[in-house]
Amino acid sequence: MSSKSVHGSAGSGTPVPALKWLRELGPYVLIIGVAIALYQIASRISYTEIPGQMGPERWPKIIIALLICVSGFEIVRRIIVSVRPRAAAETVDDEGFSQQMEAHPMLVAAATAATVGYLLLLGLLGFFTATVLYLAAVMWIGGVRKPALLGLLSISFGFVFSFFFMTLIYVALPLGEGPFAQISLIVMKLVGAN
Amino acid sequence: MDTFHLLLAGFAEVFKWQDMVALVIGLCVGMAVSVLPGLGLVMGVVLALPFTYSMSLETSIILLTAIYMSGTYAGCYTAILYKIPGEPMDVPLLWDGWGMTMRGDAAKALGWALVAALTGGLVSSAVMVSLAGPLSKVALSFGAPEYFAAVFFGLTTVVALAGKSLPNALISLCFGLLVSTIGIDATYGSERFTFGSDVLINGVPFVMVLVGMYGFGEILDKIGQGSKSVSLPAGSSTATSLPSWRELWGLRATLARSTTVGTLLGLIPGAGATISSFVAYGIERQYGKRGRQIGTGIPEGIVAPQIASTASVAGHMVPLLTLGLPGSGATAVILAAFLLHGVQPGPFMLKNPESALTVYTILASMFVSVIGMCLLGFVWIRLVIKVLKVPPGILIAVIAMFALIGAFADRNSMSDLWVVVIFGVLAWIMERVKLPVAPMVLGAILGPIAEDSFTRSMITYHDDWTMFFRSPISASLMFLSILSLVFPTLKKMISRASARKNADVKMAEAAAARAN
Repeated sequence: MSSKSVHGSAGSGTPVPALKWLRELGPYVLIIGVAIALYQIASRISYTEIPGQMGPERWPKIIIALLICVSGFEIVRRIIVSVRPRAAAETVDDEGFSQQMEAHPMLVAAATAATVGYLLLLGLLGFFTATVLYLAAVMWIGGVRKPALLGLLSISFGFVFSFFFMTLIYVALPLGEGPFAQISLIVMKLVGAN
Repeated sequence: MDTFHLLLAGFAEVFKWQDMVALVIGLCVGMAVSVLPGLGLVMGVVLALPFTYSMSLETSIILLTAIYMSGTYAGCYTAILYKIPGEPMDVPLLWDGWGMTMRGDAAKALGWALVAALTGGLVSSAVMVSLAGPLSKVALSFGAPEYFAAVFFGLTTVVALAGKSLPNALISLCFGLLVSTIGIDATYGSERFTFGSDVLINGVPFVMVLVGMYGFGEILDKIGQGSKSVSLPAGSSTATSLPSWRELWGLRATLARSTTVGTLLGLIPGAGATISSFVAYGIERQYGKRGRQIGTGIPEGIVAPQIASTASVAGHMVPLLTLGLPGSGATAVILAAFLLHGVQPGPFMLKNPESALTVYTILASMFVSVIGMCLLGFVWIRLVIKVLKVPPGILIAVIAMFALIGAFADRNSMSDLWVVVIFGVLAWIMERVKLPVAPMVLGAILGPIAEDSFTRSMITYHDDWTMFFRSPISASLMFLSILSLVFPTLKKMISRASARKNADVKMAEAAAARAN
C-alpha cells in the first residue's frame, strides 16, 4: 500500500478525513482500551502477599504498561505527523496499522469458516468423513473446481491421512457418532489401524 | 572428554540408522518447503514438530535441524533457474543467479551456490562447535539478573530487527509476553487472565501458538494470494557445474567475508538467514573487488548471500544449545521440541556427559546435514521442483491437515486445535496491519523464562531493579539491549534529516535554475 493513500491530505496540511483518522489511530486506541481493562484485571489477581516481595501481578502489569506507553506514543506521533505541514518532496514512512488488502480476502474468510466447521463437526462425523469434506472444501476454495477430481482427491487423501495418523503414528482420532462411527471403523479396518 | 572426542562420539551417534533416516527425511522436507513460494522453512519445521513427540530427543532435533539447514539452500534452484524465490532470503540470489541463467550459465550458477552453501555451512559449524564450550562456561556463571539480561537482549534485538516499525514490533512482543502469562503463575500459584475458563488454567500451549502463527497463519496467507500455479519453462535443466579451484581461489575474499558475516549475524538474535543474506550481499556490493558489477550476473552475487544464509544456521543453533535462547523462528520451534521432551537446553547440558553427547550429536548432525543437502541437491531437487506444478489448492489442503492433526496429536485435545485456528487468524490479521509475527511468537516462548528470571532477581535483591546494571555481564547486555532499541530510531532520524536536507538543496538548485 502506498504511503500516499494513508496520509493523503496530510502533506498539504488540509484536515485528515475522519475515516482515515479511524483507520490510522483506531487500532492503537483499541489496544489501549483492552490494555487498561487487562490492567484492572491484573490488579485483582489474588495471592498471599509477602512484605517487600513482588507479587504475580507485577510482571503482567509491566508488560501492559509498556503496551499502553507504546500505543500512546504511536498515537501522538501519528497525530503530529498528520497535522504537520511538510514539503511535497518529503515522503511519509509506510508504518503503523496501514491496511494491506489481500487479493482474495473472501477466500481467507471461507477457509477459516471451513476450518471452524471442520472442528465443530469432527466429533460428530468422525475423522474420516469430516476430513474428506474439509479437504474438498479447502481444495475448492484453493481453486480446484473439477467435482470428480475433488471427490477422488479428497477421498484418497482421507485414506492416506487415516493410514498416516492412525496406523503409523497412533493418534487417537475421533470416530464420530451413529452411522459415521461405522464408516470410521470400516476405514480403520481398511488402513490396518487398531 | 574434550570437544574433539565429544564431536567424534557425536558423529558416531548421527550415523545410527534412526538419526540418519531422520536427517535424510529432514533434508528432503526442508528442500520441499523452501522451493515453494509462500511456504517458509519455519513452516516446515513447525509442521514436522508434532511428529517428533514419539521420537528420542536426539532424533527429533536432528530432524528439525536438517529441515532448517536444507531450507536455507534448496531455494537457490528455483531462484536461479526460474526467478522464483522460494524464501525471502533467496531474493538476492536471483539478481545475479537469473542473470547467469539468461547468459546460459545456469549450471555454473548452481555450482557456485552449492560451493557457497557447503563452505558457509561447514565453516560456521566448525566455528560454532569450538565456541560451544567457552560459551556454556560463561553461561554457567550467570545468575538470575544476567539470565534476565540475556533474554531481554534477545527480545529487544528481535524487536529491533522484526520490521519497519519499532512500536509495532514492541506491541507484538507485548502480546506474546501477555499470552505467556495466562494460566497459573509459577511462583505464587495464582490464576492470571483465565476468565474462569478451565481450558486456560494450564496456560496457552506455546507449541499451538507456534503451529497457529507460523503454520495455519501461512496457510491463510497462501489462500489469500489466490490459486495461480507456477508455470515452469520447458526444457530447463537442473545440472550443476562446479567451479574450478582457480575460480574458487579468485573468490577467496568473498568466501571469507560472507562466511564471517553469516556466522556473526547468526549469533545475534533476530538476525535470521534473510537478514544475513541481504547484509552479505550489501557488503559484497560495497567492499567486493567487483562490487559495482554485482547485480549483472556474477558469481559473487550468488556466493555472498548463499554463504551467509547457510552460515547463520550454526550461528543460531549454538546460543540455543548453550544458553537456551532461540534467536529465530526455526530455533524457537527447536526449543519447543526440547521442552516437549522435558529438556531445557542451556549450559548445564554440557556439564552432564550424557546430555553433552546429545549436544555434540546435534552439532555433528549439522556437518552431515550440510554435506547431505549438497549431495541431495543433485538427486532430489529434480523431483522437488515438480512440487511447484501441483495446484496450490491441493497443496494447501494437505498442509492444513498436517498442521491441524499434527497439533491434535500432542495431547489429543480439541481445545488445542481451537488455539491453532485462533492464533492462525490472529497472525493473518497481524500481517495485514503490519504487526510483525516473530516478536509475538518469541515473546510467547521466552515470556516464562524472562518472567522467572525477573521474579527471582527481584525477590533475591529485594525489589532493587538497579542490580540489572551492576554486574558487568548483565550491565553490558542491558546496555546492548537499549542500544539495539535506540539505534534504529536514531538511524531513521539521521537519514530523514539528511533526506530533508537533500530535498532543500534540490529545491534551492531548482529555484536558482529557474531564476537564471
